[in-house]
Amino acid sequence: MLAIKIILIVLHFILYSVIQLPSGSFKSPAEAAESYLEKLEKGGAKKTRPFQVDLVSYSPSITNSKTVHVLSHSEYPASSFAFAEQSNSQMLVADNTFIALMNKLKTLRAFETRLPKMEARGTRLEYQDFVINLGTVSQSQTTKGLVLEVAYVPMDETRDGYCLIQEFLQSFLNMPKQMIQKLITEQLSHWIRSLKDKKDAEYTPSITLLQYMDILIHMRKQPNE
Amino acid sequence: MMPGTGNPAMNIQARQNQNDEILTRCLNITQRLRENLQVLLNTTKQAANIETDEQSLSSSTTNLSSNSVNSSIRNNIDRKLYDMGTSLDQLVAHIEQYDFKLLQNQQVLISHYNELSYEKQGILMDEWSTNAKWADKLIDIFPLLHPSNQLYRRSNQRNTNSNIRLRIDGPSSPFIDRIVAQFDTSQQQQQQQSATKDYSISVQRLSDHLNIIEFSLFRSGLDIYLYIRHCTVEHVIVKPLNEKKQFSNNFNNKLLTNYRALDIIAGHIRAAAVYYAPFGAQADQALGKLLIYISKFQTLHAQKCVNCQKHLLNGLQPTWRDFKTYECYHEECLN
Repeated sequence: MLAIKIILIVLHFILYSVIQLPSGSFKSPAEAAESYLEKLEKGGAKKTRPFQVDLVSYSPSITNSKTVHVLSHSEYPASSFAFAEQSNSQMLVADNTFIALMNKLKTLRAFETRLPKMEARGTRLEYQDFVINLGTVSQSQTTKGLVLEVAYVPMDETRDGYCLIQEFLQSFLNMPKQMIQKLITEQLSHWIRSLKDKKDAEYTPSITLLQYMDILIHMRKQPNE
Repeated sequence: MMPGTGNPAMNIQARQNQNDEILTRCLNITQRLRENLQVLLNTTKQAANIETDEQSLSSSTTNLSSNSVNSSIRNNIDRKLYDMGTSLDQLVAHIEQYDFKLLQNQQVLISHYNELSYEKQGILMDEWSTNAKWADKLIDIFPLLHPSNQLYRRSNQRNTNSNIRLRIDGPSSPFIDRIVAQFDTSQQQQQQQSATKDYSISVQRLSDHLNIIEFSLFRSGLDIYLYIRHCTVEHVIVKPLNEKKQFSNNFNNKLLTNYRALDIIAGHIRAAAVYYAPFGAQADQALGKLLIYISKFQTLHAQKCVNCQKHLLNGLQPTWRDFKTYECYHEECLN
């Protein structure tokens, strides 16, 4: 039995959701990835370039400190995104030398990388004004699942954008609306809930990276198949 | 008329005198022609005035009085045209009598002739157009013939009256400001209930006759640039609002967008600009209607296609808005 997760992230300026497929559908994650890629290409999406998302977690040597998760995304090659646990969804956006700083702190024994590095690698596709990133998540040579990221690029307004992405997923991958709404991650549902009180619902890349972080940490906790 | 034989010096002098006499007669005839043309233009203007008065007041009493006036004017025009025809015949006859061969021996005259050419002096045409009174008279009559083209007439009149060649100075900027203000007022009246304004409109003036209207639709995230010369939409560019936020310091609104949906919308707005401004239509009405049409793209991401009841078709929203009903369709659903 193989449990494959399709994680739908709306990068750039919208949002994502998580959908668990029936476990008996595919024999391996590679086969599932191939099947979805074929489906996307048949629908008219065109391959552009590879994409990659990395997550490195730095655990503190001192017990009082917090674990720091550092993420990098190939869409933002000059930036790195850092998140300290229990920091109320606040993400630090720094330039990519921040990783070098964390490694320096590691050599000074302030932090250590006990947790394994998570990687999501795959293909970036384009369809009309949508950008689709389909990748395989792996943890030290072990495949954990699939990540699918969908973005509608010329927009940063979340309310209408979410409906647009939902409809895109329904039509392109034949996913029912209820399934998409039911399996939305905590970060995403929190963001959508918070929109009710806000006038300006502008989407920023940190929200995407927060969603990635949730997914990758969740996958790390899963036992290997 | 060829000169006879005899003393060559005297012969040349006689030929010269005869040519001078012919020239004097020709000048007199030309003067008479100009006077007749002046009277003819005045009479035509008078006739045009009477015609417009008749259109505004169509009563039986005025018809009787105007009929007699019309017939006298017609007779006057006929007489003047006949006079002008006779004068022209005389002018042609005199020119035929002119001894052109005599000029070939006179280098001075030939060089003077060259001096009169447009290439050397350059101001000859301007001088001619300024002195020609009939051109001014034509401009006076023009609004009676085409009352809708006020802007063109005014700018053109200024251009013709000046001695120096001016650039076309269209008074379109206040005109566009007025249209935008009217649109703003009408939209505010419609959106009284909602506290926040979901659009912004501004006019950027590049010159007296070239303006850019920037129309931002916040809900749909569109930034629409209308390049307007006088009151004609020359070019339309649609960009996403988020691009402006990201590249505010280095934002180029002259480049076309890379996004498919926005490119299609720009094409539709260009089509609407042509549709709302047919030949002879009021320029302010056409531009006002176009602004209303553009404001209907506010629901780009929310409204479904009237035909297929879907929002996305082939990854695109319903980008077409009907010119009359403003209903939205996908391009594929139109047929």
